[in-house]
Amino acid sequence: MDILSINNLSKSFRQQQVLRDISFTVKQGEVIAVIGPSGSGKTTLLRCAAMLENADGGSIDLGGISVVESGKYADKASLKSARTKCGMVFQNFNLFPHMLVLDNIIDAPVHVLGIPRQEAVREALALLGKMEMQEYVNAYPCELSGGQQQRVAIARALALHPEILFFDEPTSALDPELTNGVLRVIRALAEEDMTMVIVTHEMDFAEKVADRIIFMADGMVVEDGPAAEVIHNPANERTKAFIAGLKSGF
Amino acid sequence: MKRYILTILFLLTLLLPAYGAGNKPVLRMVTSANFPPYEFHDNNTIVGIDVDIVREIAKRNNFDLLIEDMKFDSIIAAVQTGKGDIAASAITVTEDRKKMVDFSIPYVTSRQVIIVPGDSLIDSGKVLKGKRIGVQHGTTGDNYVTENIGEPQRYDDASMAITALLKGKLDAVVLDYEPSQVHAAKNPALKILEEPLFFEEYAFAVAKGRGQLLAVINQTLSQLKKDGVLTEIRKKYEKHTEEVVKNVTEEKYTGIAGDFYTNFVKDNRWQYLVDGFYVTIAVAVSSVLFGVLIGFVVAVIRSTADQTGKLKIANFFCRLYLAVIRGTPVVLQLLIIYFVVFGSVDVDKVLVAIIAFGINSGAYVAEIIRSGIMSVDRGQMEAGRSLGFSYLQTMNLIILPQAFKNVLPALGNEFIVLLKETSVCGFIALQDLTKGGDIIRSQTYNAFMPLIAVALIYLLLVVIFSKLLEILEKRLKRNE
Repeated sequence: MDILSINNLSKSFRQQQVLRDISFTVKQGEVIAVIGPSGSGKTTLLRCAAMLENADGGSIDLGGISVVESGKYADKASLKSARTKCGMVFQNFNLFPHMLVLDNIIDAPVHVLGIPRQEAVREALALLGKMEMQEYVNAYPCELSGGQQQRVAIARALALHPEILFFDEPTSALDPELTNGVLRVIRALAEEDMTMVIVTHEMDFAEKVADRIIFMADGMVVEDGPAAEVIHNPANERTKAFIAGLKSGF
Repeated sequence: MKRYILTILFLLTLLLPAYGAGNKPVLRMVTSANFPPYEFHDNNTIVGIDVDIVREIAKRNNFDLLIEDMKFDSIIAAVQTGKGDIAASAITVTEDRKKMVDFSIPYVTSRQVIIVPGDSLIDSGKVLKGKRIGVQHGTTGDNYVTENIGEPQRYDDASMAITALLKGKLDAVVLDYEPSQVHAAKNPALKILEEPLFFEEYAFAVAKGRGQLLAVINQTLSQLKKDGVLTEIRKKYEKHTEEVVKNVTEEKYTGIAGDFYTNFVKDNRWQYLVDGFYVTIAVAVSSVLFGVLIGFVVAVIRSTADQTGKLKIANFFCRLYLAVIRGTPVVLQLLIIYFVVFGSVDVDKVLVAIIAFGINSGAYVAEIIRSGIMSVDRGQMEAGRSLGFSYLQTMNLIILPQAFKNVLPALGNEFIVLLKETSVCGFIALQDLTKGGDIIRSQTYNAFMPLIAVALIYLLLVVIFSKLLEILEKRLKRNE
């Protein structure tokens, strides 16, 4: 079953076309890594899929709801229910600085889904445990390291029981020694068959965790295939050049 | 948010006075009670020649009397707009004023006199040309000097003009006869020229088209003249003036202690400051809450329009509101709300002031909060939306609390400005702190001590408030 299906998606910022005719699908339990040079439209693609940005043309189906059909967006109610089906993890975490870690996590379940507070707290504690963050339940975000904040942000996204999670370069804002903790919990999620789309620069991680890798350049999907194949045996010249460039860089 | 709204509504209802419904028709007299012996505050009531005469008119015609004290400049407007029925404030009949209101028959003839330093060479009105002359703004003395002699220096009250004369900043002061006697008695270095500058007649004023009321007033006035009651009343207050003269020259204490005693202790005058203090606090606190409420709504509409392109029409009206309110002086807004918006409604003046200052402050608060909203990272809105919060929910739960914390110092500043701006309440005859000081000055003929006391109270309020704000800021900073 397809959780996410994107067809002929296009998007421009003023004169500049950022996404051109993008199509791909994500099946239940699949983990997709989106790679490509900066400015290739990876983040914009993810933001369109997560409904943070409006596409100009094409279609998006999310969790069985038609979000946009040939460039026309659905009514408010459909959009609202589609929003709760996907979670987003940001490069800069975007935790709410004026709330405790616990409140960051339970605020949406309580106010959006109407889950009783007690139940939301119980679940939040369980999620924090899974993120190895249980002891920070009563801390403010400013008291945490970047890696810890990102793990709280993942717990916050998971608290809504999304059918799919989007990660926008989840480790790019972290010091290298802090990335491991974050990558570890994402990996654990993959093992639980969480459906995920991850924009990343961590090629090793992408290879280990992703089922498929999508390579983007100039707003187009250039290559879409099994992870090992795209990395070790890319069909497209540009993919080859990009991956070779990454390797020789070190 | 709902809780705040309820709190504010509750506060507003507390301030609404309960109007008792009398059986008799009410005669509302407007006056500017800083002009003894015609009208002045004495032990927290307004008394004087005008008050006694109008009281007599009310009594003989079976009216209940209600007296409103306001700035002299506002009195004519007050009867024109129906805020009062009869203006009784030692008003001189002039051609200009006749165009705006109808006058009763004159009830007294008075004169404007010239006060000069004892050693002055000025000995008559004929040699005033080219001299520096002080007058009380808006009085007939002001008009006369302006038309016949030259531009005078206009002071808001007579004691200021007298002080300027004593300091050598003026050559002469033109003033009504009665207060001149007190000033001259109090300051032996000054003298009143025997020959008055001119004579004038005082009469009561009513709005045009109220012929019936005017007829009643005129009829009773003639009666009072015939009965000798008018003379009686005048005599009664002549004695009062003599007493004041005696009092100011024979004070129990002298020097600063004496001034302090006269201005604050004697006749419980401190009570004016206490009463005014409560009004100032009530107006400032309620209007800042009201202003913050308006400010939040306007700021959210403006930011939403900026960020999403929606709410275009609401945004237009918000911008219009900001332009009008920030582009005009608060005194004007206060006067317009009192005389025009609530022109024909009998509404408590504290409430009028709260509405006027609330609307005024709201415009500034709106821009302060909008800057706060803009200072919050865009990612916060995106994070909120991605969690399924609606735009408004994200605003309320996530953006505004952070914005509020960021702009707290600016909001505190706005409150301090507002607190001091409420000092123009006197324009609609609301007895706030500043007006309380003015009343004391009008009784004691002392230019500065009440002003300094009022200033100290404002200062104290601001210092206390700043301290509270500092504590609040520290508490909100715990999550940084």
